[in-house]
Amino acid sequence: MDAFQNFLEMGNYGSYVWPSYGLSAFIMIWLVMSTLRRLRAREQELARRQGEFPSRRSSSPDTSGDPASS
Amino acid sequence: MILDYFANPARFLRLANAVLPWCVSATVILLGVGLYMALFVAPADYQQGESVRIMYVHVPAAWMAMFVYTNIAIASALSLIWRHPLADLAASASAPIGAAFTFLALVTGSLWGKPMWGTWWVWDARLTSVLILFFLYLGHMAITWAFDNPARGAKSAAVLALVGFVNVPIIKFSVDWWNTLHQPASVFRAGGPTIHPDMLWPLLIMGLGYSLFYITLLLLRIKSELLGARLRTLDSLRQDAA
Repeated sequence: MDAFQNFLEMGNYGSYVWPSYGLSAFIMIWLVMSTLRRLRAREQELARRQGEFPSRRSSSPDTSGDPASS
Repeated sequence: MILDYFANPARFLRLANAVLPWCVSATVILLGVGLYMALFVAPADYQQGESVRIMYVHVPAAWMAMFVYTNIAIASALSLIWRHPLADLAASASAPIGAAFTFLALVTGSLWGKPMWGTWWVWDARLTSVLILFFLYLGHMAITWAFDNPARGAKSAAVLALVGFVNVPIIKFSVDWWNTLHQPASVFRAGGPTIHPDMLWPLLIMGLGYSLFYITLLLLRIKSELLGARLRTLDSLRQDAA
């Protein structure tokens, strides 16, 4: 327990070291979450609307190409 | 030219989907090992004590701040000169990541400066030029989205990125050209690193982990933008059909 206490205290610099690590983790996790959230939303939207133009090749990631006539 | 090969979005997506699992695994392993070494293996500094552990999150963030901006400048040149179709996406997808790392470099530097220098902030050349870098990122993001026509926004942002690139060497050499409170380079310098290997290794592993973190996020964000472009295509098709 003492060892753990010492670790947290970081030689009296704990109040500078831990906020540095905490903020770094928070910002990096936030970057990942916001990126994934937008990606998932777009994937779902695309999957939902794939039915609008039925004869389009279903999983082609090509952005060009002509619209399928429905 | 290899860049031409990946100009095709479908080809890019195939490549991205193939390498993403490897990038994610490498990022997790490197950051995990780096964090463990930084907190448990690396020694305390004989002058700075345990506060030196801030270095392992501060220095990689500062490296990324400059690395990401350099990539944006390269992408901007590719976009303006060769009109590479993915270059604008790479630049706009990178800017928020670079801004986040620059913010982290500034704040963790401040948290390190307070106990070591006795001040949160000082207007020396290194700190000021990094603050300017942060504003360049914010300006880049604002300009990208300031136009109704995305192509015009991307073009204006690319010009800003290239003009602002002059700041990157200024940041790098600020500690040599001016008398700064910030210490001079101790890793990437002529004559090799002056930092002890016990501290250098955790730092390099963290730096590599941060780099792969950026590459992973960049691939995910470009993929997301390409899907967004497809959605807009579907929108215009629907309008044509109606």
